[in-house]
Amino acid sequence: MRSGTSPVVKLLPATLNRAQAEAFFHEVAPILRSERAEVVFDFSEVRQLDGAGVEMLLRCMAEVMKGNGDLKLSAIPPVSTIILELTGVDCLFEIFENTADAVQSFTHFPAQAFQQTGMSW
Amino acid sequence: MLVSAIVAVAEPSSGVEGGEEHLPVMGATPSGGPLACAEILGQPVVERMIQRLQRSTVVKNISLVTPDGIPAPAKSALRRRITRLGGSRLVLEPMSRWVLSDALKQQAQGGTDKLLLIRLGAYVEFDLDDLLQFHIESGGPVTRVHDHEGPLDMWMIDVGSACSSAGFGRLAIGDLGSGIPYLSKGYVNRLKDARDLRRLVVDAFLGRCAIAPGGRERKPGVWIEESARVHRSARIVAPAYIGGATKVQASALITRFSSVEHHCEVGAGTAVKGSTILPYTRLGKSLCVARSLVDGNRLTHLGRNISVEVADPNLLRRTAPAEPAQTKVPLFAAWRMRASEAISGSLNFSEGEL
Repeated sequence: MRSGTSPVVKLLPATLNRAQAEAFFHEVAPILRSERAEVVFDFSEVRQLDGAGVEMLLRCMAEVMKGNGDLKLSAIPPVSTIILELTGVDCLFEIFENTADAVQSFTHFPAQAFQQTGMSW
Repeated sequence: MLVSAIVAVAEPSSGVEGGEEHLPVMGATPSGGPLACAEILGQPVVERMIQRLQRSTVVKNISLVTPDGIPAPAKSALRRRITRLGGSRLVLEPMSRWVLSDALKQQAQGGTDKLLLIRLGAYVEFDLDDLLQFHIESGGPVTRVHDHEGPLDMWMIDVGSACSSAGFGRLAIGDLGSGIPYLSKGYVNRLKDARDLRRLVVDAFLGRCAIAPGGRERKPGVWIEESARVHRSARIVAPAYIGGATKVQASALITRFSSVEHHCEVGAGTAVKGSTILPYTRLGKSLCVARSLVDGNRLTHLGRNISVEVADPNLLRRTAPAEPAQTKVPLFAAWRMRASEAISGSLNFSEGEL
């Protein structure tokens, strides 16, 4: 069941260290805590992600799930992809190459977004 | 013209191919049942085939021949499911009492003109009307369905010609040969091994074949059967399927292209990634099951080409009627732990440094 509102896209800051992550969390917390929030974090500007940033993503996911919402990630640069894979956090999130696909995925499953990923079985 | 169909579920082959000596026998689940009888996104291939034939206006009678070597629980489950499909057109026969020659004779006596014989096997999407039209126009006694990789175990047989042919008394499926080849352009998955079964699941999620996951699409790409129970702290990442009466416990993670079939349990904090969990399987707590096909306590790892039987029932086991109490685990506790283990406070990459 959808909330009826449009997904909210939040552009993450270039640096996601402890201070920046904390500030960003406080900025987005009210959105995440709303009922059935649909949120996309756009990583396109992110150049630096550390453990505090990953921890912040988990906190955001925990918050959004309390209200039966969902949080998706988009446009993640290679370095951040490695960090997310290294920590095993990548599989917690739906991740899309671009923000448009991520937004669209709240209304229907974008199978075409997975067609070129070379999914192995 | 009376058209009938016989669907015979092939016994898994005991041979191994392609150097994958560690994988289970061809066409079998890890516990030895035919892959065609394994539940895939809520329904076995054999049931999907029967339904496809029942929906057609062409086929008037359907016989299902069940294999003898299938494990007893799987056999009774299949029988229940197929019986539920119902219809006076459907007859079940055990393989041990089935002979193609006798079946053809019975079909002839019942007035059948054309017989569609399917040995499952493969998951095949085909145009029955087109096949029948081709068979009639070609004028041959036997037409065999092919795809671009070669022949499939599907034949359209002219019953009158077959009954009058020489050597009829010894006729077996193998004797049908190639007949006149009919090229089917529909989706085909030969279901030779666990990898094929996983490919079918992925293809279904991606809409590459006509299989639609069962249950309700609770959110885009996440199908959950009504009777499934998913803890609110568990996370399901699309595309994924959760079968009926399955329990997903606290902080568990079912992620991308995974299917957990009916009557399974996924323990607290356990992650299922790109895997299929067959019915009546319990995964213990805090496990990571990736790129695998799990059937009870048997796991086939597709990345490592190996199939193992796990003796510890705390890790994997077939589900028992008694249900263990759910364990309370803080939200994402396991993932936080893994994240903090993997990333030390000083680890800090930036694009400029790499």
